[in-house]
Amino acid sequence: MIRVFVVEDEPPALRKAKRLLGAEGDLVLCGVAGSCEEAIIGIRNTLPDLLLLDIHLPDGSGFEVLQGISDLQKFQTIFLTALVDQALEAFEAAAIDYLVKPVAKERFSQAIQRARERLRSSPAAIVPTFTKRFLVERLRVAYMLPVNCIEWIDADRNYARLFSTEGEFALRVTMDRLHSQLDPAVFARVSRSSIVRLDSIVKLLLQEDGSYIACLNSGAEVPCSKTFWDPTRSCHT
Amino acid sequence: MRLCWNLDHVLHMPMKRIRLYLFLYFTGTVLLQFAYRCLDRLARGSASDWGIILLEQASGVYGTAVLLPFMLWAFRRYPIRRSITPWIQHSLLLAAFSVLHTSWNWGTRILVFRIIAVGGYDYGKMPLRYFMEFPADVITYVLAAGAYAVYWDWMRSRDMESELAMARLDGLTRQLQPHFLFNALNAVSGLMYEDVDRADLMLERICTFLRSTMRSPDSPLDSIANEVLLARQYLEIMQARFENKLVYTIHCDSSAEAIQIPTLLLQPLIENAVKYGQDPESGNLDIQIDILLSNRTVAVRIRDHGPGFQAIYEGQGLTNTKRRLESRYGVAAVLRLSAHPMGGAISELEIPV
Repeated sequence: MIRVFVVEDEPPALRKAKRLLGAEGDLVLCGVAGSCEEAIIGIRNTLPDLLLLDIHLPDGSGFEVLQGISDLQKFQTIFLTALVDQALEAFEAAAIDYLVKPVAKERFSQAIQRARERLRSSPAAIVPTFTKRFLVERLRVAYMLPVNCIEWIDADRNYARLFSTEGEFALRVTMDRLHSQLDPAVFARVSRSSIVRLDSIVKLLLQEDGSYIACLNSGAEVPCSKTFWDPTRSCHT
Repeated sequence: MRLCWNLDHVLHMPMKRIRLYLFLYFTGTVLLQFAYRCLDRLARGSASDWGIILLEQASGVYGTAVLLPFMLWAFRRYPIRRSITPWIQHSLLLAAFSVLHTSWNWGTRILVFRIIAVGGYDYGKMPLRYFMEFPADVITYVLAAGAYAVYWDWMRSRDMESELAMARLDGLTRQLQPHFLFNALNAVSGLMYEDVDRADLMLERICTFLRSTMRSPDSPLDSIANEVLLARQYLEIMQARFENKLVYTIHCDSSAEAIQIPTLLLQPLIENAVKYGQDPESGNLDIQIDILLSNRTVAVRIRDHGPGFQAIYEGQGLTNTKRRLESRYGVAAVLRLSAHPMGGAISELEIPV
Protein backbone atom coordinates (compact mmCIF):
# COMPACT_ATOMS: atom_id res chain seq x y z
CA MET A 1 0.00 0.00 0.00
CA ILE A 2 1.13 3.52 -0.79
CA ARG A 3 0.32 6.03 1.93
CA VAL A 4 -0.75 9.38 0.52
CA PHE A 5 -0.96 12.78 2.17
CA VAL A 6 -3.07 15.45 0.43
CA VAL A 7 -2.53 19.20 0.84
CA GLU A 8 -5.55 21.09 -0.53
CA ASP A 9 -7.53 23.98 0.91
CA GLU A 10 -10.72 23.79 -1.16
CA PRO A 11 -13.19 21.16 0.08
CA PRO A 12 -14.67 20.16 -3.32
CA ALA A 13 -11.17 19.90 -4.78
CA LEU A 14 -10.12 17.74 -1.81
CA ARG A 15 -13.09 15.42 -2.29
CA LYS A 16 -12.23 15.10 -5.94
CA ALA A 17 -8.63 14.23 -5.09
CA LYS A 18 -9.84 11.66 -2.57
CA ARG A 19 -12.11 10.07 -5.14
CA LEU A 20 -9.29 9.88 -7.68
CA LEU A 21 -7.05 8.30 -5.06
CA GLY A 22 -9.76 5.85 -4.03
CA ALA A 23 -10.12 4.64 -7.60
CA GLU A 24 -6.50 3.51 -7.68
CA GLY A 25 -6.95 0.59 -5.31
CA ASP A 26 -3.51 0.42 -3.75
CA LEU A 27 -3.48 3.90 -2.23
CA VAL A 28 -4.46 4.76 1.30
CA LEU A 29 -4.99 8.28 2.54
CA CYS A 30 -2.90 8.92 5.64
CA GLY A 31 -3.68 12.59 6.16
CA VAL A 32 -4.95 15.85 4.73
CA ALA A 33 -4.04 19.47 5.38
CA GLY A 34 -5.44 22.82 4.25
CA SER A 35 -2.48 25.06 5.05
CA CYS A 36 1.32 25.02 5.08
CA GLU A 37 1.55 24.71 8.84
CA GLU A 38 -0.95 21.88 9.06
CA ALA A 39 0.81 20.17 6.19
CA ILE A 40 4.29 20.30 7.73
CA ILE A 41 3.11 18.98 11.09
CA GLY A 42 0.76 16.42 9.54
CA ILE A 43 3.45 15.06 7.21
CA ARG A 44 5.90 14.74 10.09
CA ASN A 45 3.27 12.88 12.08
CA THR A 46 2.44 10.41 9.34
CA LEU A 47 5.56 10.11 7.14
CA PRO A 48 3.67 9.41 3.89
CA ASP A 49 5.07 7.74 0.78
CA LEU A 50 3.40 10.16 -1.59
CA LEU A 51 2.47 13.81 -1.26
CA LEU A 52 -0.25 15.40 -3.38
CA LEU A 53 0.47 19.11 -3.11
CA ASP A 54 -1.46 22.24 -4.06
CA ILE A 55 0.63 25.39 -4.61
CA HIS A 56 -1.74 28.17 -3.54
CA LEU A 57 -2.40 27.83 0.20
CA PRO A 58 -3.82 30.37 2.64
CA ASP A 59 -0.60 30.83 4.62
CA GLY A 60 1.97 30.35 1.88
CA SER A 61 2.84 28.12 -1.06
CA GLY A 62 3.35 24.42 -1.55
CA PHE A 63 7.05 25.10 -1.99
CA GLU A 64 7.21 26.32 1.59
CA VAL A 65 5.77 22.98 2.69
CA LEU A 66 8.55 21.16 0.85
CA GLN A 67 11.15 23.41 2.46
CA GLY A 68 9.67 22.73 5.88
CA ILE A 69 10.07 18.97 5.47
CA SER A 70 13.26 18.95 3.43
CA ASP A 71 14.96 16.68 6.02
CA LEU A 72 12.45 13.91 5.24
CA GLN A 73 13.53 12.08 2.14
CA LYS A 74 11.49 9.00 1.62
CA PHE A 75 8.41 10.57 0.04
CA GLN A 76 7.57 11.44 -3.57
CA THR A 77 5.71 14.61 -4.53
CA ILE A 78 3.06 15.22 -7.18
CA PHE A 79 1.85 18.79 -7.61
CA LEU A 80 -1.86 19.24 -8.24
CA THR A 81 -2.59 22.90 -8.90
CA ALA A 82 -4.42 25.38 -11.09
CA LEU A 83 -1.23 27.37 -11.67
CA VAL A 84 0.32 26.49 -14.99
CA ASP A 85 3.48 28.55 -14.75
CA GLN A 86 5.26 26.98 -11.79
CA ALA A 87 6.09 23.60 -13.24
CA LEU A 88 9.75 24.51 -13.56
CA GLU A 89 10.05 25.31 -9.87
CA ALA A 90 8.13 22.15 -9.08
CA PHE A 91 10.57 19.93 -10.93
CA GLU A 92 13.46 21.82 -9.38
CA ALA A 93 11.93 20.87 -6.06
CA ALA A 94 12.18 17.23 -7.22
CA ALA A 95 8.51 16.67 -7.96
CA ILE A 96 7.81 13.55 -10.03
CA ASP A 97 4.80 15.03 -11.80
CA TYR A 98 2.85 18.25 -12.20
CA LEU A 99 -0.91 18.00 -12.70
CA VAL A 100 -3.07 20.97 -13.60
CA LYS A 101 -6.64 21.32 -12.39
CA PRO A 102 -9.09 20.13 -13.41
CA VAL A 103 -7.23 16.86 -13.97
CA ALA A 104 -8.66 13.93 -15.91
CA LYS A 105 -8.74 10.48 -14.34
CA GLU A 106 -6.35 9.03 -16.97
CA ARG A 107 -3.76 11.73 -16.44
CA PHE A 108 -4.03 11.29 -12.69
CA SER A 109 -3.54 7.51 -12.99
CA GLN A 110 -0.50 8.12 -15.14
CA ALA A 111 1.05 10.28 -12.43
CA ILE A 112 0.26 7.70 -9.75
CA GLN A 113 1.80 4.98 -11.93
CA ARG A 114 4.92 7.07 -12.17
CA ALA A 115 4.96 7.37 -8.38
CA ARG A 116 4.53 3.59 -7.98
CA GLU A 117 7.50 2.90 -10.24
CA ARG A 118 9.59 5.48 -8.49
CA LEU A 119 8.75 4.13 -5.05
CA ARG A 120 9.37 0.55 -6.15
CA SER A 121 12.73 1.25 -7.74
CA SER A 122 14.02 3.56 -5.04
CA PRO A 123 16.35 1.73 -2.68
CA ALA A 124 14.87 0.78 0.63
CA ALA A 125 14.08 4.11 2.12
CA ILE A 126 16.87 5.48 4.23
CA VAL A 127 15.46 5.21 7.69
CA PRO A 128 15.82 8.64 9.20
CA THR A 129 17.79 8.69 12.40
CA PHE A 130 16.02 10.09 15.39
CA THR A 131 17.45 11.51 18.55
CA LYS A 132 17.96 8.97 21.37
CA ARG A 133 18.80 11.38 24.18
CA PHE A 134 18.39 15.04 24.99
CA LEU A 135 20.98 16.93 26.96
CA VAL A 136 18.99 18.69 29.66
CA GLU A 137 19.97 20.75 32.67
CA ARG A 138 18.43 21.23 36.07
CA LEU A 139 19.98 23.08 39.02
CA ARG A 140 23.42 23.19 37.37
CA VAL A 141 23.41 19.44 36.76
CA ALA A 142 23.26 18.12 33.20
CA TYR A 143 21.50 14.89 32.40
CA MET A 144 21.39 12.72 29.32
CA LEU A 145 17.64 12.23 29.23
CA PRO A 146 16.67 9.16 27.15
CA VAL A 147 13.83 9.80 24.72
CA ASN A 148 12.25 6.55 26.01
CA CYS A 149 11.34 8.08 29.32
CA ILE A 150 9.62 11.19 27.86
CA GLU A 151 5.84 11.02 28.19
CA TRP A 152 4.89 14.29 26.55
CA ILE A 153 6.26 17.70 25.60
CA ASP A 154 4.64 21.09 25.91
CA ALA A 155 5.72 24.37 24.34
CA ASP A 156 6.45 27.24 26.71
CA ARG A 157 7.46 30.36 24.76
CA ASN A 158 11.03 29.70 23.52
CA TYR A 159 11.31 26.53 25.57
CA ALA A 160 9.93 23.05 25.41
CA ARG A 161 8.97 21.45 28.72
CA LEU A 162 9.74 17.73 28.69
CA PHE A 163 7.59 15.67 31.07
CA SER A 164 9.42 12.43 31.77
CA THR A 165 9.56 9.64 34.34
CA GLU A 166 12.64 11.48 35.69
CA GLY A 167 10.66 14.67 36.24
CA GLU A 168 10.20 17.85 34.28
CA PHE A 169 12.95 19.53 32.21
CA ALA A 170 13.08 22.64 30.09
CA LEU A 171 14.91 22.65 26.78
CA ARG A 172 15.53 25.69 24.63
CA VAL A 173 14.27 24.43 21.26
CA THR A 174 11.36 25.02 18.90
CA MET A 175 8.54 22.51 18.61
CA ASP A 176 9.24 22.19 14.87
CA ARG A 177 12.83 21.21 15.57
CA LEU A 178 11.84 18.75 18.32
CA HIS A 179 9.17 17.23 16.13
CA SER A 180 11.70 16.52 13.40
CA GLN A 181 14.00 14.78 15.94
CA LEU A 182 11.39 12.33 17.21
CA ASP A 183 10.19 9.10 15.59
CA PRO A 184 6.61 9.63 14.36
CA ALA A 185 5.87 5.98 15.06
CA VAL A 186 6.46 6.71 18.75
CA PHE A 187 5.53 10.38 19.16
CA ALA A 188 2.76 12.42 17.56
CA ARG A 189 2.46 16.16 17.45
CA VAL A 190 -1.13 16.44 18.57
CA SER A 191 -1.35 20.22 18.40
CA ARG A 192 0.77 23.24 17.59
CA SER A 193 2.18 23.21 21.12
CA SER A 194 2.19 19.56 22.25
CA ILE A 195 3.93 16.31 21.34
CA VAL A 196 2.73 13.10 23.00
CA ARG A 197 4.14 9.55 23.24
CA LEU A 198 1.45 7.47 21.56
CA ASP A 199 1.92 4.53 23.94
CA SER A 200 1.27 6.70 26.95
CA ILE A 201 -2.23 7.65 25.80
CA VAL A 202 -4.73 5.80 28.01
CA LYS A 203 -7.87 7.23 26.47
CA LEU A 204 -9.13 10.05 24.25
CA LEU A 205 -12.05 12.19 25.38
CA LEU A 206 -14.07 13.36 22.38
CA GLN A 207 -15.05 16.99 22.61
CA GLU A 208 -18.11 18.68 21.17
CA ASP A 209 -16.15 20.45 18.42
CA GLY A 210 -14.70 17.15 17.18
CA SER A 211 -11.29 17.53 18.83
CA TYR A 212 -9.90 15.25 21.56
CA ILE A 213 -8.30 15.48 24.96
CA ALA A 214 -5.67 12.81 25.42
CA CYS A 215 -5.44 11.33 28.97
CA LEU A 216 -1.95 10.03 29.65
CA ASN A 217 -0.54 7.38 31.99
CA SER A 218 0.67 10.02 34.40
CA GLY A 219 -2.79 11.59 34.58
CA ALA A 220 -1.86 14.57 32.40
CA GLU A 221 -4.56 15.76 30.01
CA VAL A 222 -3.38 17.14 26.64
CA PRO A 223 -5.75 18.89 24.20
CA CYS A 224 -5.35 17.65 20.63
CA SER A 225 -6.10 19.69 17.51
CA LYS A 226 -8.07 17.79 14.89
CA THR A 227 -6.38 19.66 12.07
CA PHE A 228 -2.88 18.55 13.10
CA TRP A 229 -3.47 15.04 14.32
CA ASP A 230 -6.06 12.48 13.32
CA PRO A 231 -6.00 9.51 15.74
CA THR A 232 -8.03 7.38 13.32
CA ARG A 233 -5.20 7.62 10.82
CA SER A 234 -2.23 7.59 13.10
CA CYS A 235 -3.22 4.15 14.48
CA HIS A 236 -2.16 2.60 11.18
CA THR A 237 1.46 3.41 11.86
CA MET B 1 0.01 78.00 -6.84
CA ARG B 2 0.91 76.58 -10.22
CA LEU B 3 0.63 79.27 -12.82
CA CYS B 4 2.12 78.03 -16.00
CA TRP B 5 1.61 77.43 -19.62
CA ASN B 6 2.01 73.71 -19.28
CA LEU B 7 -0.97 72.34 -21.07
CA ASP B 8 0.78 69.59 -22.96
CA HIS B 9 -0.31 66.88 -20.53
CA VAL B 10 -3.96 67.92 -20.94
CA LEU B 11 -4.02 68.53 -24.65
CA HIS B 12 -1.71 65.70 -25.68
CA MET B 13 0.07 68.10 -28.03
CA PRO B 14 3.62 69.40 -28.00
CA MET B 15 3.88 72.66 -26.07
CA LYS B 16 5.43 74.44 -29.05
CA ARG B 17 2.40 73.82 -31.16
CA ILE B 18 -0.02 74.83 -28.40
CA ARG B 19 1.83 78.16 -28.03
CA LEU B 20 1.67 78.69 -31.78
CA TYR B 21 -2.08 78.03 -31.89
CA LEU B 22 -2.73 80.35 -28.97
CA PHE B 23 -0.60 83.07 -30.56
CA LEU B 24 -2.47 82.71 -33.86
CA TYR B 25 -5.82 82.80 -32.04
CA PHE B 26 -5.06 85.97 -30.12
CA THR B 27 -3.43 87.66 -33.10
CA GLY B 28 -6.48 86.86 -35.17
CA THR B 29 -8.65 88.42 -32.48
CA VAL B 30 -6.48 91.58 -32.47
CA LEU B 31 -6.83 91.94 -36.24
CA LEU B 32 -10.59 91.32 -36.25
CA GLN B 33 -11.16 93.81 -33.43
CA PHE B 34 -8.92 96.31 -35.19
CA ALA B 35 -10.90 95.90 -38.40
CA TYR B 36 -14.15 96.31 -36.45
CA ARG B 37 -13.01 99.55 -34.85
CA CYS B 38 -11.64 100.97 -38.09
CA LEU B 39 -14.80 100.19 -40.05
CA ASP B 40 -16.82 101.67 -37.19
CA ARG B 41 -14.86 104.91 -37.43
CA LEU B 42 -15.12 104.94 -41.24
CA ALA B 43 -18.86 104.44 -41.09
CA ARG B 44 -19.17 107.39 -38.73
CA GLY B 45 -16.80 109.34 -40.94
CA SER B 46 -14.72 110.38 -37.96
CA ALA B 47 -11.01 110.89 -38.31
CA SER B 48 -8.84 108.56 -36.33
CA ASP B 49 -5.35 107.45 -35.63
CA TRP B 50 -5.09 103.85 -36.92
CA GLY B 51 -1.85 103.23 -35.05
CA ILE B 52 -3.40 104.09 -31.72
CA ILE B 53 -6.39 101.82 -32.37
CA LEU B 54 -4.15 98.90 -33.32
CA LEU B 55 -2.02 99.42 -30.24
CA GLU B 56 -5.04 99.59 -27.98
CA GLN B 57 -6.55 96.40 -29.38
CA ALA B 58 -3.24 94.57 -29.27
CA SER B 59 -2.52 95.47 -25.66
CA GLY B 60 -6.05 94.57 -24.59
CA VAL B 61 -6.19 91.16 -26.31
CA TYR B 62 -2.60 90.13 -25.55
CA GLY B 63 -3.30 91.17 -21.96
CA THR B 64 -5.99 88.48 -21.88
CA ALA B 65 -3.45 86.03 -23.31
CA VAL B 66 -0.95 86.90 -20.60
CA LEU B 67 -3.63 86.40 -17.97
CA LEU B 68 -4.80 83.08 -19.47
CA PRO B 69 -2.70 80.97 -17.06
CA PHE B 70 -4.32 82.85 -14.17
CA MET B 71 -7.77 81.95 -15.47
CA LEU B 72 -6.86 78.30 -16.12
CA TRP B 73 -5.47 78.07 -12.63
CA ALA B 74 -8.67 79.56 -11.22
CA PHE B 75 -10.90 77.14 -13.16
CA ARG B 76 -8.84 74.15 -12.10
CA ARG B 77 -8.40 75.21 -8.51
CA TYR B 78 -12.05 76.14 -7.86
CA PRO B 79 -14.25 73.84 -9.92
CA ILE B 80 -17.79 75.10 -10.42
CA ARG B 81 -20.23 73.07 -8.38
CA ARG B 82 -23.84 73.34 -7.41
CA SER B 83 -23.08 75.37 -4.31
CA ILE B 84 -22.67 79.00 -3.40
CA THR B 85 -18.96 78.96 -2.48
CA PRO B 86 -17.51 78.59 -5.98
CA TRP B 87 -19.68 81.44 -7.22
CA ILE B 88 -18.32 83.75 -4.54
CA GLN B 89 -14.78 82.55 -5.26
CA HIS B 90 -15.17 83.16 -8.96
CA SER B 91 -16.74 86.62 -8.47
CA LEU B 92 -13.64 87.61 -6.53
CA LEU B 93 -11.35 86.01 -9.08
CA LEU B 94 -13.20 87.79 -11.89
CA ALA B 95 -12.77 91.13 -10.13
CA ALA B 96 -9.06 90.40 -9.67
CA PHE B 97 -8.79 89.44 -13.32
CA SER B 98 -10.46 92.63 -14.44
CA VAL B 99 -8.29 94.85 -12.25
CA LEU B 100 -5.14 93.09 -13.49
CA HIS B 101 -6.27 93.36 -17.08
CA THR B 102 -7.11 97.08 -16.90
CA SER B 103 -3.86 97.84 -15.11
CA TRP B 104 -2.00 95.87 -17.74
CA ASN B 105 -3.72 97.90 -20.51
CA TRP B 106 -2.82 101.14 -18.85
CA GLY B 107 0.78 100.14 -18.08
CA THR B 108 1.62 98.66 -21.45
CA ARG B 109 0.05 101.50 -23.38
CA ILE B 110 1.96 104.19 -21.49
CA LEU B 111 5.16 102.22 -21.88
CA VAL B 112 4.76 101.48 -25.59
CA PHE B 113 3.74 105.03 -26.42
CA ARG B 114 6.79 106.35 -24.66
CA ILE B 115 9.10 103.90 -26.40
CA ILE B 116 7.89 104.54 -29.91
CA ALA B 117 7.77 108.22 -29.05
CA VAL B 118 4.27 108.89 -30.20
CA GLY B 119 4.03 111.00 -27.14
CA GLY B 120 2.10 110.50 -23.94
CA TYR B 121 -0.94 108.29 -23.77
CA ASP B 122 -4.05 109.54 -22.06
CA TYR B 123 -6.15 106.79 -20.60
CA GLY B 124 -8.57 109.19 -19.04
CA LYS B 125 -9.84 108.82 -15.47
CA MET B 126 -8.41 105.57 -14.16
CA PRO B 127 -11.14 104.69 -11.59
CA LEU B 128 -13.74 104.98 -14.30
CA ARG B 129 -11.62 102.88 -16.67
CA TYR B 130 -11.76 99.98 -14.24
CA PHE B 131 -15.55 100.08 -14.43
CA MET B 132 -15.51 100.55 -18.18
CA GLU B 133 -13.38 97.46 -18.82
CA PHE B 134 -15.29 95.30 -16.35
CA PRO B 135 -18.24 94.23 -18.59
CA ALA B 136 -15.89 93.17 -21.39
CA ASP B 137 -13.79 91.23 -18.90
CA VAL B 138 -16.89 89.49 -17.59
CA ILE B 139 -17.63 88.26 -21.11
CA THR B 140 -14.04 87.10 -21.61
CA TYR B 141 -13.93 85.33 -18.24
CA VAL B 142 -17.28 83.57 -18.67
CA LEU B 143 -16.46 82.47 -22.22
CA ALA B 144 -13.11 81.08 -21.06
CA ALA B 145 -14.79 79.28 -18.15
CA GLY B 146 -17.39 77.79 -20.48
CA ALA B 147 -14.79 76.63 -22.97
CA TYR B 148 -12.73 75.14 -20.17
CA ALA B 149 -15.73 73.26 -18.73
CA VAL B 150 -16.81 71.85 -22.09
CA TYR B 151 -13.27 70.79 -22.88
CA TRP B 152 -12.75 69.25 -19.46
CA ASP B 153 -15.98 67.28 -19.68
CA TRP B 154 -15.03 65.95 -23.06
CA MET B 155 -11.57 64.95 -21.81
CA ARG B 156 -13.05 63.29 -18.75
CA SER B 157 -15.52 61.19 -20.67
CA ARG B 158 -12.75 60.16 -23.03
CA ASP B 159 -10.53 59.25 -20.07
CA MET B 160 -13.33 57.38 -18.37
CA GLU B 161 -14.02 55.32 -21.43
CA SER B 162 -10.40 54.37 -21.86
CA GLU B 163 -10.12 53.63 -18.17
CA LEU B 164 -13.21 51.47 -18.26
CA ALA B 165 -11.66 49.53 -21.09
CA MET B 166 -8.54 49.14 -18.96
CA ALA B 167 -10.59 48.02 -15.96
CA ARG B 168 -12.41 45.49 -18.11
CA LEU B 169 -9.16 44.13 -19.43
CA ASP B 170 -7.73 44.08 -15.91
CA GLY B 171 -10.75 42.26 -14.58
CA LEU B 172 -10.76 39.81 -17.42
CA THR B 173 -7.09 39.08 -16.96
CA ARG B 174 -7.67 38.46 -13.29
CA GLN B 175 -10.64 36.21 -13.94
CA LEU B 176 -8.87 34.27 -16.62
CA GLN B 177 -6.03 33.68 -14.21
CA PRO B 178 -5.69 30.06 -13.18
CA HIS B 179 -6.59 31.00 -9.62
CA PHE B 180 -10.07 31.89 -10.52
CA LEU B 181 -11.25 30.11 -13.61
CA PHE B 182 -9.43 26.81 -13.37
CA ASN B 183 -10.09 26.38 -9.67
CA ALA B 184 -13.76 27.17 -10.28
CA LEU B 185 -13.90 24.62 -13.11
CA ASN B 186 -12.06 22.11 -10.93
CA ALA B 187 -14.72 22.51 -8.26
CA VAL B 188 -17.36 21.86 -10.91
CA SER B 189 -15.48 18.79 -12.09
CA GLY B 190 -15.56 17.51 -8.49
CA LEU B 191 -19.18 18.44 -7.89
CA MET B 192 -20.34 16.63 -11.01
CA TYR B 193 -19.91 13.26 -9.33
CA GLU B 194 -21.64 14.34 -6.16
CA ASP B 195 -24.49 16.58 -7.21
CA VAL B 196 -25.22 17.15 -10.86
CA ASP B 197 -27.72 19.95 -10.17
CA ARG B 198 -25.27 21.91 -8.07
CA ALA B 199 -22.54 21.44 -10.66
CA ASP B 200 -24.92 22.74 -13.28
CA LEU B 201 -25.86 25.72 -11.14
CA MET B 202 -22.21 26.52 -10.56
CA LEU B 203 -21.42 26.41 -14.28
CA GLU B 204 -24.28 28.78 -14.86
CA ARG B 205 -22.91 31.16 -12.21
CA ILE B 206 -19.44 31.09 -13.72
CA CYS B 207 -20.91 31.91 -17.14
CA THR B 208 -23.11 34.71 -15.80
CA PHE B 209 -20.20 36.26 -13.98
CA LEU B 210 -17.85 36.07 -16.95
CA ARG B 211 -20.56 37.49 -19.18
CA SER B 212 -21.10 40.42 -16.82
CA THR B 213 -17.43 41.29 -16.80
CA MET B 214 -17.12 40.89 -20.55
CA ARG B 215 -20.28 42.58 -21.80
CA SER B 216 -19.67 45.52 -24.11
CA PRO B 217 -20.15 48.15 -25.36
CA ASP B 218 -21.23 49.73 -22.19
CA SER B 219 -21.34 52.97 -20.31
CA PRO B 220 -18.50 53.79 -17.95
CA LEU B 221 -21.07 54.09 -15.17
CA ASP B 222 -23.24 51.45 -13.60
CA SER B 223 -25.70 51.42 -10.72
CA ILE B 224 -24.57 50.27 -7.31
CA ALA B 225 -27.30 47.60 -7.44
CA ASN B 226 -25.63 46.05 -10.51
CA GLU B 227 -22.20 46.23 -8.96
CA VAL B 228 -23.54 44.48 -5.86
CA LEU B 229 -25.11 41.79 -8.05
CA LEU B 230 -21.76 41.21 -9.69
CA ALA B 231 -20.06 40.97 -6.30
CA ARG B 232 -22.67 38.45 -5.20
CA GLN B 233 -22.14 36.30 -8.29
CA TYR B 234 -18.41 36.35 -7.69
CA LEU B 235 -18.70 35.46 -4.01
CA GLU B 236 -21.14 32.64 -4.79
CA ILE B 237 -18.58 31.09 -7.10
CA MET B 238 -15.93 31.44 -4.42
CA GLN B 239 -18.30 29.90 -1.91
CA ALA B 240 -18.79 26.89 -4.12
CA ARG B 241 -15.01 26.48 -4.03
CA PHE B 242 -14.46 27.03 -0.33
CA GLU B 243 -17.87 25.84 0.94
CA ASN B 244 -18.24 26.53 4.66
CA LYS B 245 -14.77 28.04 4.80
CA LEU B 246 -16.16 31.19 3.15
CA VAL B 247 -18.90 33.28 4.66
CA TYR B 248 -19.88 36.72 3.45
CA THR B 249 -22.48 39.36 4.14
CA ILE B 250 -23.49 42.18 1.84
CA HIS B 251 -25.43 45.11 3.15
CA CYS B 252 -26.47 47.88 0.79
CA ASP B 253 -28.70 50.81 1.75
CA SER B 254 -31.68 50.65 -0.59
CA SER B 255 -31.39 54.40 -1.11
CA ALA B 256 -27.88 53.87 -2.51
CA GLU B 257 -28.83 51.23 -5.08
CA ALA B 258 -29.68 53.58 -7.93
CA ILE B 259 -26.53 55.68 -7.56
CA GLN B 260 -24.17 55.46 -10.52
CA ILE B 261 -20.53 54.63 -9.94
CA PRO B 262 -17.73 53.69 -12.35
CA THR B 263 -18.40 50.20 -13.72
CA LEU B 264 -16.43 47.37 -12.07
CA LEU B 265 -15.05 49.76 -9.46
CA LEU B 266 -15.64 47.49 -6.47
CA GLN B 267 -14.59 44.22 -8.07
CA PRO B 268 -10.80 44.51 -7.54
CA LEU B 269 -11.34 45.43 -3.88
CA ILE B 270 -13.56 42.40 -3.30
CA GLU B 271 -11.17 40.10 -5.12
CA ASN B 272 -8.36 41.41 -2.95
CA ALA B 273 -10.32 40.63 0.19
CA VAL B 274 -10.84 37.06 -1.02
CA LYS B 275 -7.25 36.68 -2.13
CA TYR B 276 -5.54 37.98 0.97
CA GLY B 277 -8.28 37.72 3.59
CA GLN B 278 -7.89 34.09 4.58
CA ASP B 279 -7.36 33.57 8.26
CA PRO B 280 -3.90 31.99 8.39
CA GLU B 281 -4.92 29.79 11.33
CA SER B 282 -8.03 28.18 9.91
CA GLY B 283 -7.96 29.16 6.24
CA ASN B 284 -11.44 30.59 6.73
CA LEU B 285 -12.67 33.62 4.82
CA ASP B 286 -15.13 36.03 6.38
CA ILE B 287 -15.97 39.03 4.20
CA GLN B 288 -18.31 41.87 5.01
CA ILE B 289 -19.40 44.41 2.43
CA ASP B 290 -21.31 47.45 3.61
CA ILE B 291 -22.58 50.19 1.34
CA LEU B 292 -24.03 53.16 3.18
CA LEU B 293 -25.45 56.44 1.96
CA SER B 294 -25.24 59.47 4.19
CA ASN B 295 -24.60 63.17 3.72
CA ARG B 296 -24.51 62.90 -0.07
CA THR B 297 -21.63 60.45 0.23
CA VAL B 298 -21.61 56.74 -0.55
CA ALA B 299 -19.34 54.84 1.81
CA VAL B 300 -18.26 51.35 0.75
CA ARG B 301 -16.50 49.21 3.35
CA ILE B 302 -15.03 45.86 2.47
CA ARG B 303 -13.65 44.02 5.43
CA ASP B 304 -11.91 40.68 5.73
CA HIS B 305 -10.64 38.77 8.75
CA GLY B 306 -7.26 37.80 7.38
CA PRO B 307 -3.78 38.64 8.61
CA GLY B 308 -4.42 42.39 8.24
CA PHE B 309 -3.27 44.99 5.79
CA GLN B 310 -0.23 44.11 3.71
CA ALA B 311 1.58 45.97 1.00
CA ILE B 312 0.57 43.33 -1.56
CA TYR B 313 -2.98 44.64 -1.38
CA GLU B 314 -1.96 47.47 -3.67
CA GLY B 315 -1.68 45.47 -6.83
CA GLN B 316 -2.38 46.40 -10.42
CA GLY B 317 -6.13 46.36 -9.84
CA LEU B 318 -5.91 49.06 -7.21
CA THR B 319 -3.66 51.36 -9.22
CA ASN B 320 -6.36 51.35 -11.84
CA THR B 321 -9.11 51.84 -9.23
CA LYS B 322 -7.32 54.89 -7.88
CA ARG B 323 -6.84 56.37 -11.32
CA ARG B 324 -10.49 55.87 -12.18
CA LEU B 325 -11.62 57.49 -8.94
CA GLU B 326 -9.35 60.43 -9.59
CA SER B 327 -10.54 61.04 -13.13
CA ARG B 328 -14.20 60.78 -12.15
CA TYR B 329 -14.23 62.59 -8.81
CA GLY B 330 -10.91 64.41 -8.51
CA VAL B 331 -9.95 64.77 -4.87
CA ALA B 332 -13.54 64.32 -3.69
CA ALA B 333 -13.34 60.51 -3.62
CA VAL B 334 -11.25 58.69 -1.04
CA LEU B 335 -9.83 55.16 -1.07
CA ARG B 336 -8.26 53.97 2.17
CA LEU B 337 -6.74 50.56 2.84
CA SER B 338 -5.84 49.80 6.39
CA ALA B 339 -5.68 47.22 9.12
CA HIS B 340 -8.92 46.97 11.04
CA PRO B 341 -8.46 47.56 14.79
CA MET B 342 -10.40 44.35 15.47
CA GLY B 343 -8.23 42.30 13.09
CA GLY B 344 -8.25 41.78 9.35
CA ALA B 345 -7.98 44.45 6.71
CA ILE B 346 -10.53 47.00 5.57
CA SER B 347 -10.88 48.87 2.29
CA GLU B 348 -12.90 52.04 2.62
CA LEU B 349 -14.18 53.96 -0.34
CA GLU B 350 -16.01 57.26 -0.17
CA ILE B 351 -17.69 58.64 -3.26
CA PRO B 352 -19.59 61.93 -3.49
CA VAL B 353 -23.09 61.65 -4.95
